[in-house]
Parts: sequence; structure tokens; C-alpha cells
Amino acid sequence: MSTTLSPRAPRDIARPTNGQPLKKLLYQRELGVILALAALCLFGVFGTDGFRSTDNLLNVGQQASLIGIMAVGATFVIITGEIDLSVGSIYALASMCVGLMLQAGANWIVALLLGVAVGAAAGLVNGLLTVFLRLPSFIVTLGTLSIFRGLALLITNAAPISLNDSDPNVAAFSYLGTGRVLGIPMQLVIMVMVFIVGGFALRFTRFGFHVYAVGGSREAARLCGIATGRVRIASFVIQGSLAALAGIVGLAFLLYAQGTTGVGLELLVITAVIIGGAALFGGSGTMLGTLVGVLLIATLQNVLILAGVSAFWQTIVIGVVIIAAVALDTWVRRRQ
Amino acid sequence: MTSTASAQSPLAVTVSGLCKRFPGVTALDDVSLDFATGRITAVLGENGAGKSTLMSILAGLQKPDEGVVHVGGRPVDRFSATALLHDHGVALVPQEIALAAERSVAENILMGQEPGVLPSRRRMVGRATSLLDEVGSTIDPRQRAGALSTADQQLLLIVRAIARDCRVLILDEPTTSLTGQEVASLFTLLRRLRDAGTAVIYVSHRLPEIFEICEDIHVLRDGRHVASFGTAQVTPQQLVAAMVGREVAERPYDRRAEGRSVLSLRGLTSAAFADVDLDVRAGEVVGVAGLPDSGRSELLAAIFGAVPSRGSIHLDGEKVTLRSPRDAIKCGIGYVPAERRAQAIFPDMSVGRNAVVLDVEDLSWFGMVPPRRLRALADERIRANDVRGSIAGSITGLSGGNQQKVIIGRWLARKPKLLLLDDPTRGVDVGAKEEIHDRIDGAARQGAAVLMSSSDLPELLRTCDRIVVLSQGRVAGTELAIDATEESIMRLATRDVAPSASRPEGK
Repeated sequence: MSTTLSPRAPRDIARPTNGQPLKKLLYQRELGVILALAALCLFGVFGTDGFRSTDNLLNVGQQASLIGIMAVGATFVIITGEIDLSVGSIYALASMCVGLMLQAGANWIVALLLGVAVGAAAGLVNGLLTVFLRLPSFIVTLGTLSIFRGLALLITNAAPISLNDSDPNVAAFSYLGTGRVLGIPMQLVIMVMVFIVGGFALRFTRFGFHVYAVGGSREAARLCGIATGRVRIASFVIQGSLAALAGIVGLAFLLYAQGTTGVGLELLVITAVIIGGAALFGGSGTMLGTLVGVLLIATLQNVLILAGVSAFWQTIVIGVVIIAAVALDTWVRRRQ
Repeated sequence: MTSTASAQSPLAVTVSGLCKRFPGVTALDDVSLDFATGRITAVLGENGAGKSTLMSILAGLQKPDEGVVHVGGRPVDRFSATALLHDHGVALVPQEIALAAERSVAENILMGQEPGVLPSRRRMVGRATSLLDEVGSTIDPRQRAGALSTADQQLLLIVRAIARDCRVLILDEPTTSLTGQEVASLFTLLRRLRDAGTAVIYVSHRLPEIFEICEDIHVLRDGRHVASFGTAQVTPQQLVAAMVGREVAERPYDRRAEGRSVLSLRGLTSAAFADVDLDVRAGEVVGVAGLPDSGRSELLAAIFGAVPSRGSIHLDGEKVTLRSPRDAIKCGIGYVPAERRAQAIFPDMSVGRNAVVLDVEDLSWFGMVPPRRLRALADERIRANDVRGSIAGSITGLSGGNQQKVIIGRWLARKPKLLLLDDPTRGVDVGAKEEIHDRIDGAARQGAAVLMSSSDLPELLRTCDRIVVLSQGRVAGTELAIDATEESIMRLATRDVAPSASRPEGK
């Protein structure tokens, strides 16, 4: 889905075949995940009852949406060659903050914006520590995973927050999680919008170009005058904001939040991005790939449930899928 | 060193008919030579002459395509580092020393040779101490190896070789980062090892050192063994001629008109070079020659703001402070780094995107880059630079020469007033090299000031107006290209310009 996939034949000079095999491969790489998703859907349709009902499909979309919103941010971070392990904690921190604000009677739009700002600030901390202390982001976000989680518990002394939707302000807020637009769950609509904006930013903006450049070769990017630190920090801020947005949408759905929500979400998010074909060491990946990765995980969970597979087996299967997807990717790269 | 008694043969290592080919390059071409026990033998040659390949074969890091190596009269049948070290007693002290930095000196010395099944700390320290005593060193064997100075790390590797009774010791450019004092004590140790019967192979291109410590000299050029001398029977001039030895075949460029002064350095100093004064005028191509450790790469990087430096840089007569490549680009400077793979290409991007990476800033409109204009520009750029390959294909699929045309084209399109080129034709085939030279000449004719470093002397003689020669980070001399020869430049490049050399301070 990058511009390298221009369907037009290369107009220039000698050896036009040079780019063809690679083009095909790149094409196949995304195609591979799409085919896996299609196969899974076929199994769902013919192997289980109720997979193809509209309700169930919308249910899959809804399950995918929270991970999907966060995975858009993670796509930026991973393409720049970094990693953010703290997203689950930012998710919890933002939902607790917004919950408190709504309980205190704050206008829901203000609370929403401030909640996203909390996530952006958390992302800024991750970015600044990574860039200015020159630490691996794995270490920094391993630390902030714990710090943000602690803050989420601390602000209410670990007491859960329950919102009452008889308050019209809260009722309006809950539309973000439970509302429907033309029959489509609002959560899913939000995710699709985030994907569209994220995909546009990655593909058609200067920032997106720089994200690929920094992830492909930080030294070459620096020597081309790209502000590599700023690009990496911005990616963390986007990731933080989107993790917060997901947390807020989650709160709007349940109208209930506690400091321990979202534990382990980071692994699902990273899994989705990697299955979607992004290289863990940066430089490549697309939003379409991430979207397919997110849908694949959500569908897999759904199909396994419908097929009556136990929850324990589900986690085992997801683990196998991660390793298989990355092994396939590595194998394809080595052959090119 | 009991081992030496067993080596009765005067020839420790015999190499015959050795060939090694890499894709596109013949690194060693039918090389036959000997190394004698109880002597220090130099292996001398320019970059790419095949020294490193020969040494890595002798140390078992690479396998020869053809040819035989005998060590102490026994043929080597398995080329692996362990086989050569344990079965044949050949140890290499590489230029870039790799130690287990977090482990103790004793553990590093005895690594793989720990006494007993459950080596006691005390016994290991005891053994290490006696080995260190043997070479007259006072390093504490309990110390962390990473905390040692470079000289002591080198010593540690030599002691490690002694602990394994090595009969052949290879040192690859051992003095690159040593002080004068450290060099002296290294030489004392090497002489002791030689007297005890070890064959020492000394790889370097510093002529004064070779004359000081070596008895025999083998010269390699373009992968071939071209000459051997006894140190007593040869002059530095003869050695340089043997090292360089090829004709300048290409036609030199016509003179270009020179304009105003664009770049002016005064007293520029960094970790790798000191007190460099240099001027480049518009329309002029100035070469920077020197051995790999002369600081020539770092000088260009420092002018581009990529490594920190002090001293003054004037651009078009104005003093500038360049803290980063970003600053330098804003001032109209372009830079093509030497390490193309690590520093210049974006391996995950297409050829086209690699060509326009510097234009994204200018093309963008409120942060958005119109993909069609980007593609059109890439198309135009690829055509203008005669890059043979598909615009949508991966940059890593191109030959070195075509990759470099993309990189140089990237900068030329910006019409920089100062263009810094660090070894611009490294790993580039002959045809593309010619085209790149034409591009450089063309840029200068359009008024750019060009400062170009190269390890390829004929290239500098052909493309430059003036050549500044660095030795050990200092300017050893400047020559007009029309008066210079490879020999005259090599002489300057290998000259001893130690900081202690009487040099009036200030101006």
C-alpha cells in the first residue's frame, strides 16, 4: 500500500523487470494476511453456527475497535523502530481520569479532550525519555507501563468508578460507546475514522514519509536533515493519545472503570501490527496491514468461541498465529 | 613460551596459490608467500589490496576459494577460527577488539581454556597473573576487561594467544589508537615474542613503524602479491611505488574557473583531527587524502555538523555554527557519506523515494505531500541521473554504482554551494565511477565548491584541483593535483606529524 505499489508500469529505462518480483512479493505479503482472514471467515461461515449473522459480525467489529484504535498509534511507533509497552496502562489511566471528571460533573466533551491530552502527555513522557536519555524504548515503556498503571490505581485509591447514565451529560458521553450510526456501532465508526486519518498521515504527509525514513535508517535520516528525535517523539504522542481515546471509548461502553482495566492490551496491539506485516525493527508496515491484523485477531477469537474452544486454547492459538505470521514474514524476506 | 621449541621449521606459515573471490571483486588472486618463525613480517598495501582478506583466511574467519595454507609444515584442511587457533596455533589481534567487556581480565584470557571442569576463581586468577607477569604487565586480572585501555585490551589478546601456545601472531593495524608510549611498549613485547620464536605478522600502512619493527615486508596490490623486501634493502620510496604501482589511465578534466571563497576552516579540531586550516573556492574540487585513520572522513562529517568539532567554519565569508546536519543543509551544504549502506540509503524504500527524500520538505503543502508530484519528481530524478533500475523497485536491488548515483543525485538536485563527498566511488564499478566523476566536475562547473575525500589516489589526482593530505589527523601538506603524484601523496600521508612536532602556537 505504499507508493511503491503503483500499478503503473515503470516508465523508465532498462531492466523494468528489476522491480517486478519485489512488487509481487510486497503485494503477496499483505495478500497473505488477507487470505488468512478470508480462510478464517470461510471456516466461520461453514464450520460454526451464527458467525455470519449481522449481530455477530458487528460484535466482531466492536471487539476489534478498541485494539484497532490503539494499533493505529502502534503502527507509527513500530515503523519508527520503537515499541510502546505502556499502552494498556495509558488506556486505564485515561479512562480513570475521564471517569473522575464525569463524576465531578464536567462536560463530557471537555472530559474527552482532557482525557486524550492525558494520553498525549503520557506519550510525550515516553518519547522524551527515549530520545533524550538515549534509552531503548522497550526499557522506557516497560518502566512507564508500571508507572502509569500505578497512577491509574492511585487517583481513586484503587476504587472503581461507576457512572450513572441518568445524568444527561453521562448519557451523551455513553453514545461514544453504545451508540449506533446507521446501525453500525459507534465504536466501530470511531475505529474506521482513526484508521482513515492514520492511513492518510502515514501515506500522504511529510510526517509519514519521515516515519518510514527514521525507521529505515536513523543515521541516514539524520544525515538527510530529518529531525529524527521529533519524529520519534511525535509517534509516541500519537500512540499515547490513541491509547487514551480507546480507554475513553471503553469507558463509554461500560460506564465503569477500574485501575486494572486493559492489562495485557499492549501484547494484543503489538501482535496485530506485526501480523499486519510491519517489521519489528522498523522501516516498513502499512495501515491496511494493521487493520487486517486487528480483524484477524478479533475474528480468530470470535470463531474459536463459536466453535466452542476453551479460553485457554484461544490464547494458545493466538500465540501460534503470532509466531507463524512472523516466521512466514522472515522467510519471505530472506528469499528476496 | 615452551611452544616455540617445537617449531623447528623456519617457515611458520606458507601460503600458496591463494584465491578468494567476492561477487564482483577478486580479493586475492593467486597469492603465494611465506612467514618465517622468529621474525616480524609486515604485510603492506593500500585499501582493497587484499590484506584483510588474507589475514582473515589465516585466522580461519574466511575460507579460500583456491590454494593451500601450511602452518608449521602441516596443511590447514578446515578453515574455522577454532581450528586455526587450537590445532595450528594461529592467533589474530583484530583492529576492532571484541572482548567480554563485563567479565574479568582473567576470564577473558582463559576463555575456552578454563582449568578443570569447575574452574576455581583463585586458580584462574593465579594462572592469569603468571601469564601477565611473563609479558611484564601489572594489569589486575580481577579487573573488568571493559575498563582497560585499548593498549591493555590489545595486550590481553596477546596474552590470550600466549596462553594457548600460539606460534603465529597476527596483528591488524595494532597502533591505530595507541599513544607513542604504548606503541613503544607494544614493540618491546613483540620483539620479545619474536626472540622466543613466534612468527609475528604485522599488518599496517604506516611506513615509519614498519621500518622500525619489521624484518621482512610483503606488498600486496589489487589482490596480488607484487613484491617482497628485506627491510634493510629497501627505501620508503620503493615501498610506496610497489604499493601504488599503477598507471593513471583516465583523462584529466579541463581546468574550471574558480570563484569566491566558499568554505574556510581555521583551527578545526575534533577527536579525530586537530588544527585543520582549509579553503575551498566556488568551482574548485579539493581532495582530502590520507590513510583510513587520518581523520579525513571525520573532517567532512564535522563540516556537515554530523560530529562535534571546535574551531571556526566560515561559509561565504560568514562564520557559521553547525550543530547538526539540519543546520548544515539549511546553509546549503550537501554531504555524501562513505558508508552507503549504513548512512545513506533507506533500505526499505523504493529507488524513487530514496531519490527524493530531501525534496519532501519543499514539496509538502501544509504537511501533505502530493503523491503524484512526488512520483513525477522521482521519475525525473532517476532519469536525469541515468540510474539503471526500476523506480518502484527496492534500492537494495541496485548495484553499488546505481545506488551511489541515486544518493549523489539526491544532493546535486539541491544545487548545494558546498558539496562534501566522502569516498564517493567506494564499491562502485568502473563505468559508474566515470559517470560520478563527470557529475562532480559538472557540479563544480556550475559553481559548487566541492570537498572530496577518497582512498583512491588516482581518483583524487584526476578529479581535484588541489589535494590536502592528512596524516594522523593533521594537515601534512597540500599539493596541486597537476604537480602531485601518488608517490608524493603517499609520502605525505605516511609522514609522522605527531602533535609534539614543533609547531608555533597561534598565528
